[in-house]
Amino acid sequence: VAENEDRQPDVVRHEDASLDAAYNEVLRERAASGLDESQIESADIEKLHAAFVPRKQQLKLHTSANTLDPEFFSSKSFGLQSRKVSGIGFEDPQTVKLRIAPLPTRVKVRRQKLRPLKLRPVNGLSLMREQPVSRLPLPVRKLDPEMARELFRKLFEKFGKAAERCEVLAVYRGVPPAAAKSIQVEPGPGSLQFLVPGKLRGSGIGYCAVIYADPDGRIRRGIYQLSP
Amino acid sequence: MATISYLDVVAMTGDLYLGGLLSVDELGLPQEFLHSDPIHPSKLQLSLYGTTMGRYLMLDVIGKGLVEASQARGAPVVVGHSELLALATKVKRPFVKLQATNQRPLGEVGDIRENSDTEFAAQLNDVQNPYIFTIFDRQNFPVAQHLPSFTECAARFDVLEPMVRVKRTLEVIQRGGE
Repeated sequence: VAENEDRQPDVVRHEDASLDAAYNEVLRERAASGLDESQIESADIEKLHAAFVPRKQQLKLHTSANTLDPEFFSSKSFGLQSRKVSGIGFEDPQTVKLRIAPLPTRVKVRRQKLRPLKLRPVNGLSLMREQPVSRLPLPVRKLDPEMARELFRKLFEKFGKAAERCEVLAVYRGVPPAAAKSIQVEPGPGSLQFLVPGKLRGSGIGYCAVIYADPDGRIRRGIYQLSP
Repeated sequence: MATISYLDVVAMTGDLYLGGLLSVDELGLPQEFLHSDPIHPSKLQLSLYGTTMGRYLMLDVIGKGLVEASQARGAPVVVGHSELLALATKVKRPFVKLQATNQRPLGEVGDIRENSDTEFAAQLNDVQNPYIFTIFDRQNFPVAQHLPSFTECAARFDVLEPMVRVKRTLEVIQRGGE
């Protein structure tokens, strides 16, 4: 404590010259602001000057606090100094001079490349052919009369007069003969599924898959051309 | 001979986008199938594109790219979801979203009932109920010009069935089945 108490006057004394200079600077600023003291009564001038005394004390304290070294800040006498500061009030913002480091005039620009989102179309026809094509059954009563006649003619060719005992269960339109081997009928909805063996175009037009019960009651299926 | 294309673009798990375009003939048999490689945007792209990434990939990259690469020029394109209808502003092909209904039949095959400027119901065959057609606008999809393709195809197969195949195939591709 003794050491710090010894140091405090040194610091203040050291700053006296700069404080006076700052105080004079304030006075010059006031004079430059248009305050003409020759137009003021001498008693008022004394009051005016006396009003600067607390300000001089503030400047002194502020400058002292700014020039104290870290060791002094950690000492007990700094606590005393702090009480003085808080008792009087702190600095006038106009008197604070901050040194601001200049901003860099040039910055490094980094260009981040965005990977282009490009599409590469892939021919997946062979993959698509692995998906079965599905057909819904055509209600027999909705069968076109000409198609019905043609179907009966086909059955007659196969079974003769016994074709009259055949029962048509379902007809599926647009089934190419090439798909005959892969035909499957789903039991629930009764839809028919088949695979496309290769690239076909229009080769199944007019062909229908027919599920029927033959004269002996056995369930059969066939693909017949029922319309041109 | 009528040709209809079916386009779907889906967002898979993990910011993965995949699209496929199937063109079928009047029997619903596949004539062409193009699909994209799975497109996985980087973290930087996801950050910069933000919420617009999905729409950009679906429309500008995958949808537009597949339709432009298709050989079935001029054929109507049935899309998997309504968002893809905006492709009408990017590619010169008629786009439509189809939906099956349980509505009463409209009468003759080819009959339509207007619901709005961008939606109408059409009777495509004498077996099924009418389909709802949702389009981008009348200029992109002149009804009188394109409806006959659908009625011709619907006489032989369910015109929504090929879309099921597209979705199934995209799932296979995502699982790495190719």
